[in-house]
Amino acid sequence: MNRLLLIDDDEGNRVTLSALLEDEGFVTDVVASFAEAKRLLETGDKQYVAVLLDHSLGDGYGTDLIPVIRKLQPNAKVVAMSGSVGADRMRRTADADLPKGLHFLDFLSRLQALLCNAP
Amino acid sequence: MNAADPLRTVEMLALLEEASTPLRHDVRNRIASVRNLAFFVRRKLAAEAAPERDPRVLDFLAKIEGEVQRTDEVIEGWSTRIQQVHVRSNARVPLAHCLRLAMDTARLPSSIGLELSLPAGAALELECDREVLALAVRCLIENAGEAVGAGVVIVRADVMPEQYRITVSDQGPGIVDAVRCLERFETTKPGHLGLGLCIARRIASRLGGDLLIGKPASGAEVSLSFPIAGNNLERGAPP
Repeated sequence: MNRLLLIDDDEGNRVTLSALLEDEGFVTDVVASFAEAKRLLETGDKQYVAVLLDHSLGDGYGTDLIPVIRKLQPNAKVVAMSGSVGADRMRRTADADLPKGLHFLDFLSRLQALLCNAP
Repeated sequence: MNAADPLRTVEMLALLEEASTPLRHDVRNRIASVRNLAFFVRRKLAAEAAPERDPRVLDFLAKIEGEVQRTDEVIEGWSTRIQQVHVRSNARVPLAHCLRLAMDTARLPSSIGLELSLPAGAALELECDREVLALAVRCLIENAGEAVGAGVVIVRADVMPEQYRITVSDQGPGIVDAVRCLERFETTKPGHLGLGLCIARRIASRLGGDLLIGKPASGAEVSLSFPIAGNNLERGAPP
């Protein structure tokens, strides 16, 4: 199953992106904060093919979640979704950089290409 | 400070860019949401058989998409024009020249002394615009000067494995929160914008480097790091 984890404090992006991704056959779990994401990663039993990660999460930074994701979801690709300058380090350590401004079809094709290259 | 500040133009443009960046970022996120919503609605409408549908529905949806696209272009055009300052005349520039320009133009009270420390025998060069890099260093110097009030601010250049590092240090109260001090408009000084470190970080990032907040035993230490090899703009400028 193509299960994704979408971590974004922006409700508009969470609602629209998850709806579009679900139409493409993905199952999308959605969380809105750093704490919620960390809790889900640490206690959840689901395996994700990719984690879609925003940078500024209100109560923390996406960058600081990447080591947690690498440890607990070693097969998941990490996708940085932020275009802000403060997210440079996150973009450097993620597997892909797909900023939110992308048209959904571009976003989708790049996500699918990333997942096709997964081991 | 010189009467005619040679860094005035690059500073004004950097301020404009830094102040407008969060607005641009947030508006573009909203635009992306609207665009995706419109895409979702269009796809659902296309899948429905609706012979009685008012033909203007699809027409108006196309107009919404067009307006969103134009708004995005307006914002992108504005950002591009401002960013042009950062790519205007890159060349191999002696690092010492940039540091001296930053020190000579720093707006500090007379109670602040400046010291420069360069590695002996090394002619360090960076691929950059001299004034833009000097502005980044000046931001650190002025930030340190404001923190220390009276005393010495030290500007030091070091050659590290694979990178140059420019460090500005002072013996002021130190940086309490290394994350907050890099937030835009975050300042403890009345009348200040709180953008200096953000500007310095953006410039460093454009040159393939980074801004680092040190943890000295006393005072504060802020560094800009730049890769020795390939420190040019090919890495791409952050929006």
